[in-house]
Amino acid sequence: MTHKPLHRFMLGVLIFFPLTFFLWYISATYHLAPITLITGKLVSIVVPDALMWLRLDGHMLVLASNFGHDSTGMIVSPPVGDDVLGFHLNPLIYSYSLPLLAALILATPSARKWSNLLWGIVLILPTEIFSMTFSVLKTLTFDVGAAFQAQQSISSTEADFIALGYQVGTLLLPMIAPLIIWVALNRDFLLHLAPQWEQSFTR
Amino acid sequence: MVRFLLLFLLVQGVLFGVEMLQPVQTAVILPWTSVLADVSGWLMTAFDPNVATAGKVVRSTVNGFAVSIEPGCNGVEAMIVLLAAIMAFPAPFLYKLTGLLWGFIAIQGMNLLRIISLFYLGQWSQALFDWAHLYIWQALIMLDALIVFLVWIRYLPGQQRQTKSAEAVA
Repeated sequence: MTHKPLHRFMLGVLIFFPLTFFLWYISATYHLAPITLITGKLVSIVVPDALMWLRLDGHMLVLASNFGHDSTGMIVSPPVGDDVLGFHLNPLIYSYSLPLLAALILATPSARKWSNLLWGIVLILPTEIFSMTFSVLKTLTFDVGAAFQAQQSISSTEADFIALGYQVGTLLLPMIAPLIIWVALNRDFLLHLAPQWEQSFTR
Repeated sequence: MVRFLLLFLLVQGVLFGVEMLQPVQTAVILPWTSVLADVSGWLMTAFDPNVATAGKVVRSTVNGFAVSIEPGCNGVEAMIVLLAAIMAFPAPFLYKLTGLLWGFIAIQGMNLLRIISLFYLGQWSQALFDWAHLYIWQALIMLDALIVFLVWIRYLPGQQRQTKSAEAVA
């Protein structure tokens, strides 16, 4: 391990941070694809008949609902016309946890850097699925609104739970998850930085 | 490790829960957000006289462009994460307070930089504003909290002696 691990780590973050964010942005279609696929399946199970499809259009998520307007403009299910209600969502607002985690792992002096990176990508995946699922549910619950809530028999408590899940998934999880995963994967580096921590690790 | 992570998550859960309560929002979070708007406005008027603030909104008096400081942009979440990490870590109480004080300065200083930079970026390019606002600054603020925590654990009382002993043995 290096003599000045913290300096090296901070320098590494400065170097890798712009690089990982650049790669993350240009490859969004690819790294968001499995998340979109799994979320689509999950939402179809949780709220059957509400989602027509969930697809990526570049880095934007397109949600086609099973709802449409009737002749008076009311939102109804099933749709009376050919047109269904669709929404554009930005999944990058919670997916930035991926390049943040990648920059932290790549900047950390470790012999297991690449396996840690692989583990990091695997471990961050469920958090992104959580965020995307609640983002879709929030859109259906509050943007489609009453018709969706009636179709799925969603109570006001359940609607509040979906709102809370959305807040956690977009505001908190993308900030906290990379730090927790990084700490869990880089025990050796943290112990080198603070040998006193060994006591708390062994407790 | 498990003990630290569990404590860290528990303290965070409690504090984030408290933060979301309406009375806390009204009595603490919103006034704090207004203070941030005022301080950033005051800092900007040092080099730009065309800045006005009202509540949590900072506005340009020249072109009318305005930014509103919303939840998630006031540095409170990053402070909660740092506070949870420091509280969960075994250290003398006074040293924890010192860490929190420096953490507060580092996070809120960085947050002021975020508000000011976004205010001018937004007047220049909406695309750059969105990029910086939605992705870059969110990550940078958390990075700031992490660095403060790492520096804090690096200089724990008794840490230097232990590090030197370990190096001497090696």
